[in-house]
Amino acid sequence: MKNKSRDRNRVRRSADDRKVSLARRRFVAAAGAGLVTSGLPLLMSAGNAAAQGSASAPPDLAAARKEGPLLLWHGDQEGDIVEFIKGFTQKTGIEVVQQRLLPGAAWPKLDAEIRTGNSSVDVYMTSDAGTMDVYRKQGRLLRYDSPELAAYAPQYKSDPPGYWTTYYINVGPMMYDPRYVPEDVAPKTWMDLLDPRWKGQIGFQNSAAGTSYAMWFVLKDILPKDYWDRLAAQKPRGYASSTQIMTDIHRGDLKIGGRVSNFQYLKSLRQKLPIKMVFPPEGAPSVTQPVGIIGTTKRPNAAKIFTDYLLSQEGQKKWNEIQGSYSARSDVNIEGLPPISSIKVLIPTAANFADYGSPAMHATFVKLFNRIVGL
Amino acid sequence: MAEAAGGGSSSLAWLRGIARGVSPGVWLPLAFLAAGLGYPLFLLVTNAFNVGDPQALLPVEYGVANFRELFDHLDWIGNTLLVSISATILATVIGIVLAWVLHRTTLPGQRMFEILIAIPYPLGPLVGALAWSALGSPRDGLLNQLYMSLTGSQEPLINIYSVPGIIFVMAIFEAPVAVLMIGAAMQHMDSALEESSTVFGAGKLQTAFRVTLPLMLPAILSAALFLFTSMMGAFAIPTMLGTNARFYVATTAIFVLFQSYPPNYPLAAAIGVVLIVITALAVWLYSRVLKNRTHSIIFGRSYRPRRLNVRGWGPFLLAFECLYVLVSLVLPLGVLALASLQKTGDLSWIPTNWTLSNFHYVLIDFPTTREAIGNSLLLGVGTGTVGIALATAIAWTVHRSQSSGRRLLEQATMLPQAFPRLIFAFGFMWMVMSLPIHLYGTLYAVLLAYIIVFLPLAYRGMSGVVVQIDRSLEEAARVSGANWRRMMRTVTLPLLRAGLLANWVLLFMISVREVSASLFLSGPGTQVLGPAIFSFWDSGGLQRVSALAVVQAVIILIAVVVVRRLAGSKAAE
Amino acid sequence: MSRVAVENNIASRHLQTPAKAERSFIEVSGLTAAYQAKVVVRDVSFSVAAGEHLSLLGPSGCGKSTTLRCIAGLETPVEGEIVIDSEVVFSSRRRVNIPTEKRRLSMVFQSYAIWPHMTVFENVAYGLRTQGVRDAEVQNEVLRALQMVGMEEFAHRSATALSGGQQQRVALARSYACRPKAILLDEPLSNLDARLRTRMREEMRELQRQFQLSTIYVTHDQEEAMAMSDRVIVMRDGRIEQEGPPLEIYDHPRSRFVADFIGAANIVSGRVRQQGTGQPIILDVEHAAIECAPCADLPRPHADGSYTVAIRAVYAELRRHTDPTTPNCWPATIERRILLGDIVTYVVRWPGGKLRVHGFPNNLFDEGAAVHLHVPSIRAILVDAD
Repeated sequence: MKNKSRDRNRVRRSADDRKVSLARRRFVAAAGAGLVTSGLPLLMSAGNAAAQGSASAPPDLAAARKEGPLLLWHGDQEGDIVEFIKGFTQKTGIEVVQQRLLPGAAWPKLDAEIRTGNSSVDVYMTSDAGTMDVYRKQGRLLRYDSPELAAYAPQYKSDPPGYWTTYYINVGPMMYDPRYVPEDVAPKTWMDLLDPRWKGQIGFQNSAAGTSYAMWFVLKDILPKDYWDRLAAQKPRGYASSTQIMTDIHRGDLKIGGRVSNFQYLKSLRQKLPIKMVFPPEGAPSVTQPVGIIGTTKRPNAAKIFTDYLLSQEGQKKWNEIQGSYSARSDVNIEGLPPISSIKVLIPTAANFADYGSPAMHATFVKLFNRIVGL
Repeated sequence: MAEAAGGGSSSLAWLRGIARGVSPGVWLPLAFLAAGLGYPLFLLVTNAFNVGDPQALLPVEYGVANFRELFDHLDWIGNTLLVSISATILATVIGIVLAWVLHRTTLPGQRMFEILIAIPYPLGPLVGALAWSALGSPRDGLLNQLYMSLTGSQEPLINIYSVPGIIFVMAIFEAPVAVLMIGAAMQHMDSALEESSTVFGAGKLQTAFRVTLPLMLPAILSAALFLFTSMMGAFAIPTMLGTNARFYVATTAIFVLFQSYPPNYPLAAAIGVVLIVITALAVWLYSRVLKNRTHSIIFGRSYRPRRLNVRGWGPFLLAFECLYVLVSLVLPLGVLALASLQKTGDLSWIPTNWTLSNFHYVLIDFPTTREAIGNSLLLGVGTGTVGIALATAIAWTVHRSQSSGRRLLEQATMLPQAFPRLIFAFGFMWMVMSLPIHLYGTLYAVLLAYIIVFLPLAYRGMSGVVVQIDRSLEEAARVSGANWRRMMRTVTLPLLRAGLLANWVLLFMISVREVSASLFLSGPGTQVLGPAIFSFWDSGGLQRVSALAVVQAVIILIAVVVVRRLAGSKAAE
Repeated sequence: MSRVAVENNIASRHLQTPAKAERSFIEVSGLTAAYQAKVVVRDVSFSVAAGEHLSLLGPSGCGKSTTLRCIAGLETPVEGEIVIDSEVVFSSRRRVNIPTEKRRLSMVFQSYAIWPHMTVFENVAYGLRTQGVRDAEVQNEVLRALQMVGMEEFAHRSATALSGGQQQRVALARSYACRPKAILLDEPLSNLDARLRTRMREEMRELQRQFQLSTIYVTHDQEEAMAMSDRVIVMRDGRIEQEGPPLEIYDHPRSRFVADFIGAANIVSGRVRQQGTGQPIILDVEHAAIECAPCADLPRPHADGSYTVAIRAVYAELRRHTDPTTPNCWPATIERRILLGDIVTYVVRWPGGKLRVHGFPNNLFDEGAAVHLHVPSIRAILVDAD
């Protein structure tokens, strides 16, 4: 399970290491050293993980139905997930319960739950592929070779594949409402955002959002080093969600959404509200949103069936139509969105994936971005 | 439970009675509070000094680095104090004026106003913040739209996303507590004290300032302290009205620190510890100031103080009352009702644009909210019942038994109010996660947290009720041959009943509208209304959030009506 | 204070109670009680005979209520022994403390303690119900008790609708209905107005005599104690000052405190003139000499060696003419005359200072008149100084 090509990072003594050694300890079933409360539950979950069955075993629908409601964690719009789940339940008869958690809240919660043996999550859908990969390395994900994986290009899958797969691509253009911002003065590039006329009128999702982290991660090496300080001087506002950014944009309280998840575009249009997207030439920071099965799942069959459905052409079409986002499958096209090939999409590559996932990098971002949005 | 003279005929009971020992009525609740309050506090404090792995539940490396880091962010603490103190002052002033008008003037319609003024509190700050953001947002707010269309101005009348906006909304939704507490004291004042002032030549206003107000000071300070400690932990209003304006207070900062990855628990714990210290300081200051004053001017016989004829001031005072009801009840409920009927986030007055689909969605379609409503009702009943039972037992032990340790018990019972609720909740969450029993992720964890957090309020209420019952009524029962159980059953509990009911409903309403205490503890399967509305606001549209808020408001209003009906059927003593 | 009332009590008593009953019904010995670290009852011992009406009389804070509550079991004494009907209900030595509800007593509280959430009937029936008496019998007993106090029409009314006097009657009915061993009353009349008080006093006395129940009655009103009791115990600062039948206490107070507390007494201090044995005791007071009532031993003097004599205002007489050979007769002047209705109080200036004298309205002296003051020597009682 441990991939030797990632070894170079193990030299650093970091929290990363401690987590890895924790995982190692777990699988060797050592007695509970360290944290007092983790002894027995860790043993139990180790036993559980071993009993998950082979990675390629096809799921059993009848067994899945009996396994009880599937618990799904995600960071998307609750309404969209609920609608998607409805279709899934109708088709398969498997009940699903969902909980919305931003990655910042989800990871520690998952950590704590696994640690105390309380975990009940089955499938996790997130906007932070880097941390997802860390989890893969720690052996916390169940490997499932879904037949649907063939339709995904390698950059949209885990390496080795089967641990996590991209269920949509979240592209991040700038957005504005033409009723309040005339098209000729609207920013066209990232450097345009530094124009003093936008002072106090730019909005981003706050440091808790995986998309904000990804934005900084991919742009930090492209934009000038002093960009972030100058952006801070623009006093941008930090929002809890992209929906809130859109609310303020359409109200006229916010002029520019600095980076807004592109699915908001279709949502605005469906509400008959005017909205414009800007894909800067430097690139539109995007994230591949991964879905993975948690290793300690008690409902492996249901989890696998859900993954199959989500990643299938039917599921992808359904999901991305509901949400209004881009699918990673080449055979799925969503109406109303400009073709993804016409956009310069910036996503973290395999080369810097380890960096992307490191908690230290995350911590640096959090400190910086909090300062930028005035926290 | 009472270790009063004459308890038990065995020599063991004798020893207990004579030695004035500590009865189970004292040490059981103390143990419960020590565990439920002390352990989370311990976890918070140790984590505040954690400089090692931020994720470790029990830190191994200690230092003050977190507090040094906090020093760079003193504006969080400063902002918290700014809004808390300002809003407390504003709410207290509103409370004094309203209480005085309600109980000491001859103006008409005060009974109706009494009910109307009490409603905003159980509706809650979450509903209030939501409503006022729809009313006062600079471009889109209903009030601003009206203003701009009426005056043709390009500039909005108000911007609710500002520090004054936050202070205003916080004050008007907490003011009813001040009205209640100060009003209770005003109702029981001996009017002879004021009358002699007028006999010696002081006019009405002079009397009000030189006699009434100073006499009310203990009650006023008590209400102000309660408000201050609540506001220190306020979360909903600063989040919904502040973050868009880059204004952060301690609670909203903690929330973001929590949600970011990796979460900075130690820094958050350090903030929590600082807040607790400040609040505890306020409690201590309050008890010092009141040390030499008699606490209650409530006399045994019920005094109905005479009401003043305010003549020329009448219309102004009535206008003030109407203004308060307008900004705290009519406008908020109105705008939410309007928004909940919309198809989109825009507010339209044309009925043909209206729809009930939002309610359908919230009540039937969306499983989270359905579950949240059910859970909140359950939780409300649970908190009310267990909370009142516990509070009554403690109140009875403190005021009626002879056991030693009663003062300590009373102080321990009021201790939770020194903990801003959000802070307590995340310490509590850690405690729950670290316990070997399966409590985490269940509704019981939330119930337990609610009971502890609301115990001071419940105790305050039941204490007042217990004290009012003349001790000789219970003694007469005992002399007439009733043992302790029979006395409780036939005399004490029936006499407590009206007070029990009123306080039960208060606890019910407060637990239904709570957000901060359950934000970290509720999750899938244990969704409750407050956090559900909050996350709905995060990711849903105004029309749907409003529908959910309206549902919560309706539940609260039904509870208010029920209690009025039940309280009205029993004659007030 | 009305001497008339005292004489009424004496005349209507048909029991001469001896100083200490042969077989006491309630026996209190060595009672010591404390409240919040302060001792309020110190080593108090007394007994109540069967059917006797005993009053505990004294100013507020003297420990009388605490003593009563100890007997009821509502307070736990620090030390002492309480026996009721030959049963030890409390003994610090033997470690016995029978709970209140098992002592089979009744109590009438100062606030009446009528339960507002029950009807009058249920209030009175309470004690019977705790004994497990059957419904039919409860019905009879309760109605009888209510008839006794004249409240039978109120039987099914809510207790909150009663006036003070009515509540008091219901409290009385309640205390008699359950046939207790003894009745304890804690200042039951102090919340009533004067006329009602007098009437209730007589009704209560009548009931007590009818049922022959041992009664302990706590009051600060000496008129009440004198009018109703077979015996009075005067308490002060947690101790018994003096104990005895009302008239004895009235006529033979042993201390200045008792003399002052009961009735209106003039307290005069002076020096005892040394006389031979068999000679009457003379007290030199300013410019007069008083011949005092004989006593076996001299009472306790002041710190400066002076002695105190108590002269009741009703026993001092004013005469227009006098026989100069009569002892204890001095010329005096009326300084002030205060007409109180049934009696007249005079403030009289006499060679020994000022004296208050009670007289009757049918024989008035004018202010400024010169009179003769006469005090029978047996009425000049030497008492303990404080």
